Amino acid sequence: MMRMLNIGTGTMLVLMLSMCVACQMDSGPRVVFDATMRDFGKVVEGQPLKHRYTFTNRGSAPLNIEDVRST
Amino acid sequence: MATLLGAKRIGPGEKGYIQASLDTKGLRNTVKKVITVSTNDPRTPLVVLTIVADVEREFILSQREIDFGRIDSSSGRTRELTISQAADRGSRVLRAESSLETAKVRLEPVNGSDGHQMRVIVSLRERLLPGYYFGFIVVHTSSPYIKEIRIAYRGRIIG
Repeated sequence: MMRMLNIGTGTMLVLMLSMCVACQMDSGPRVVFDATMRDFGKVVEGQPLKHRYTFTNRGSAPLNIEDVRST
Repeated sequence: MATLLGAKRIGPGEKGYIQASLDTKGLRNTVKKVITVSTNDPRTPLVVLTIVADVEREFILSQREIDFGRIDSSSGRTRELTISQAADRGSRVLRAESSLETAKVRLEPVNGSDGHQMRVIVSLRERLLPGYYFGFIVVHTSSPYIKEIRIAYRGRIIG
């Protein structure tokens, strides 16, 4: 009887833990950039440089980009 | 630096982008530019994106301008500077001209430089009236990025 109770409690704990982890991973928006730095190396003065930073919303809610500022 | 945001609102599982454009004209040596992105992600409310480049000059001038100073009948009316090709990108100095009739300009390759260095020889014309003279020498190159190099000249003829 005690053994069955232990197995039941263990299963419950594992279930609760996995739910908690899944909850943390998915709740709200989550921004993940593929890369945050681009090094062009040596370039010639006047050469125009262009780079596209890509990202994914890995969350469960819409991701809002509220502001983009550059130096 | 200019930035372009693909979309302000990105749905779950969707992708977005931020495009950065940097004009390197007038920049020198190591350049680092930063973009800060504010989001509603509570775990990453601020993302810092970086662009780094090592900007080299394609042409190096021995001086940026020509000053003839005060010129009288005994003064020489010719000055020169040198343009060197800095980065080995295959660009060449093609020709040079003066913005005004008051000066003449000619190009001569520096001996032994294999065409990588050019002398820019500028002469004020004879028989100019006394007064101040200003102008530009425009050097045309084959570079796709720096098509023209402008060199200011000035001088005062006093007799």
